[in-house]
Amino acid sequence: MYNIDIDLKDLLPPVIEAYSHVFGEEYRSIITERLNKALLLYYVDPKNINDYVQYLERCKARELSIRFLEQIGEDTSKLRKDNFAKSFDIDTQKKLMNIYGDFLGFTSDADTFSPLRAFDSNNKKPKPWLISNMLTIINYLRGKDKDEINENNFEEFTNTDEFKELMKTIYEYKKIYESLLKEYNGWKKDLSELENYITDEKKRKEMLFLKKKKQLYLKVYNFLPEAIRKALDELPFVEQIKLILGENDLGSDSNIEFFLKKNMNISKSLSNTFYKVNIGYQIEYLRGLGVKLPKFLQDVTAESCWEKHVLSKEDIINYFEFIRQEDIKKYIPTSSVITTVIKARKRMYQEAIKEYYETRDDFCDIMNHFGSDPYNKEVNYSTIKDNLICIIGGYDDKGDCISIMFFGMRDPGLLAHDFIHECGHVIEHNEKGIGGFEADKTTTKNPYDGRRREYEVFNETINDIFTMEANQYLQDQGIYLMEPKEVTNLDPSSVNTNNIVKDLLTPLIVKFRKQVIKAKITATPSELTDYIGINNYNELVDAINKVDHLANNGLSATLKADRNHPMVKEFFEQVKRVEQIYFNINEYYQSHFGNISSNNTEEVVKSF
Amino acid sequence: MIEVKSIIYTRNNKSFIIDINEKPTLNYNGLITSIKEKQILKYLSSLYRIIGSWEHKYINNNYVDGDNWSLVITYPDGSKDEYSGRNSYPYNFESLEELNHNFVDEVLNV
Repeated sequence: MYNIDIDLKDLLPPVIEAYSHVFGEEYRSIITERLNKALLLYYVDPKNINDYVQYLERCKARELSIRFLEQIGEDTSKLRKDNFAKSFDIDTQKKLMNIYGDFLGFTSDADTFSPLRAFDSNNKKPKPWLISNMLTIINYLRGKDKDEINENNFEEFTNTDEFKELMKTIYEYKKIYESLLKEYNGWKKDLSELENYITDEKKRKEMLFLKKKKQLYLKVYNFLPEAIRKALDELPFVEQIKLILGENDLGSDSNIEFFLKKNMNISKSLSNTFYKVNIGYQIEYLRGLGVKLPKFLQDVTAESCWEKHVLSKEDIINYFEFIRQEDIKKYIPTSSVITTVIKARKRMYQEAIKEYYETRDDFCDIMNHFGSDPYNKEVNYSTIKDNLICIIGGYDDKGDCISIMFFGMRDPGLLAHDFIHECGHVIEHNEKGIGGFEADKTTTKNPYDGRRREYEVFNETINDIFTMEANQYLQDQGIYLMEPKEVTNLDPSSVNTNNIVKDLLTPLIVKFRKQVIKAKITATPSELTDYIGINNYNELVDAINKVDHLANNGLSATLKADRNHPMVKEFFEQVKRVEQIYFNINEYYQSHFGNISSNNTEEVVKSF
Repeated sequence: MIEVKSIIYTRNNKSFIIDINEKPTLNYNGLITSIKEKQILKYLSSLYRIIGSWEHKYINNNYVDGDNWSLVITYPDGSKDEYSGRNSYPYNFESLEELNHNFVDEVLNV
C-alpha cells in the first residue's frame, strides 16, 4: 500500500547520521541543531502524485516484464532484478513491445494494446485492430528473414502448418502474460489511495473553475455590444459560456480575444501559422453566433488551421474582406471591450487558482504553522503553486533565523535524493540565514547563464556531491528513505547539476575536503579560499559556469557526434584551464602551507 | 501536414516531448508512445490559447534552489518559439502543466 502522508521530521535521524559521517563528527551538533530547528513543510500536489503513480506503474511493468522474459526462456542476466527505476535497453524494449505491446503490456486497456490479447476470443475490439496486433507478434516470431505477413495474406497464412506451430508458442506466451497481468491488476489496488486523491482533487478543482467561469461570463456579458448579446440570448446558457470564453479553463484565451487588433494582421496571417489559427478561432466564434459563412469557410476550424492545406492565401485575403462587411462587423467586439474581458478573465483565473490552493488540505495544514499572517500565506501559496522544492529563510517564535523547507513528491525515484539535498542546504544556512558558498554573493549573475547566480552552480554541485555521499552511506546500510529500493533511482549523478561539472570539482573535494566542508557549513568561503587563493577560486567558479553552460546546451551529444565541433573544442579548452587552475592551486598552497599530502588531482583532471 | 515539428517542455528532471513526424510520438519522462494527429491538433489548439500572451523569459533568483523550465516549439523550417524561466512563471503556467498532464493521461489511457 502506498500512501501520501509523510512526516519529514521522522526522516531526520538517519539524515543526521549520514551527514555526520560525511562532514565529520565535529559537525554533528551543528547538523543536528540546524536540521531539528528547520521547519519542514510537506505539500501534496495531485499532479506530482499522478506522475508518481505513472512512475510506479512503469517500475512494476518492468519488474513483471523481466519475469515474463525469464519464463519464456530469454537471457535476462544483464537486467537488474532488484531495481526497476531505469528504462530497458533498446533491444529489450523492442522485444517486449512486439510481444507485449505498448507500455510493456500493462495498461488499463490491454485488449487494445497488447498483441497477445488479440488472440483472446473474448476481445471485442475492432477486427482491424486485432489483426494488426496479431500481425505484430506473428511477424516478430517468424523473424526478419521471412516475408512479412500482412492484412492481405493473413487469412491464407492462418491455414498453414507454420501458423499452427506459431499458435502453440503464442498461447504459451499468453498464459504467462495473463498470469502476470492478473498480478499487475492486483498490485494496482495498492495505489488506490493515491488515485483517489488525484480524482477527488481534479473534481474539486474542475467544479471550482466552472463556478468561476460562470461568474466571469455573467460579468463579461454586460460588456458586450447589443448585437452579440442578442445572438447569445438565442443559445442555451452553457453554449453562451463556451462561445465567449472557450472550452478550456480560465487560464486560456477566450474566443473573443482572437479579435484583438494585433491578431488581425493580414500579412502575418499569410505567413505565420499562429495567426492563421487565430482566424480559425474567429470563424468558430462567428459560426457559433449563427453568422452565415461563405462556402470556403464552412469547414474551417481552429484545429484544422494547424494543417498546411487549410486556408489558402486567397482564402485568408477573402476572409478579411468578409469580416469588413457591416452586418458581420457588428459581431466583432471592439478592442476596448476585449481588453476589459482579458483583465476580468485574468483576475478571475488568479482568484480561482488561489482559492483552489488555499482550500486544499495540505495547504491548510501548512498554514497552521504560520497563523493568519497574510505575507506568509502569500509566500506559501506561490511556493506550493509553483511546485518548488526549496529552502527559504524565516524566523521562529523567538525571532531566531531558521530554514523553511518546502518539499513535495515532485521527482519520482529521487525523493530521498531531493530531501537529503535540501537538508544539505539547511545545514549550510547559518544563524544569519546565509548559505554555503553563495553567502553574501547572491546578487551577481552567472555570466554564461543569466538565469543563474554567479556562485550557484558551484554551490549546488558541491551540495549534490555531498548529497550523493550521504545517500550512498544510508543505502550501503540498506536504508532507503521514502521509497523502496526497487523504485529508487540509483544513479542521480546527473540530477540537478551536470555530471561533467561534478567530475571537474572532484579534485577540489579530494584535496581540500576539510576546507570545502568548513566553508560550506560556516557559510564562509574564505575557509577555502585562504588555502587555494581567491583568484584561483574565482577562476575555477568561472570555468565551472562555462562548462555547465556548455553541458546545458548539448555538450554531451556533440561530444559523441563531432569531436571537432567548436563547442567540443571550447570544452577541452576549459578542461585544460581547470587543469591549470588546479596546478596554480597546488602552487599557491605549497608556497603558503607546504606540500599537500594527497596528489591525485592531475590524474583526475587528465581522465577527461 | 501539421505546421509544427516538435514541442519540447522541460522542467527540472522531467521532460515532455511531442515529436511530429510521419509517426508522431510523445516522449514523457522517457516513456515513448505513438500519438494520433487528431490528438496533436487538439493539444496545439489548447496550447496556443495558453501561451498567446507569454513573455519569452521569466526570472526570479531569490531562491536557493532553482526551478528551471522551458518550452520550445520548433517549426518545419527550423525556426523556434522559446519560452523559459527560473522560479518565475507566466500567470497561467498551471494551465500548461494541466494541459500536459491531461494529454499524457489521454494518450496513456485510450
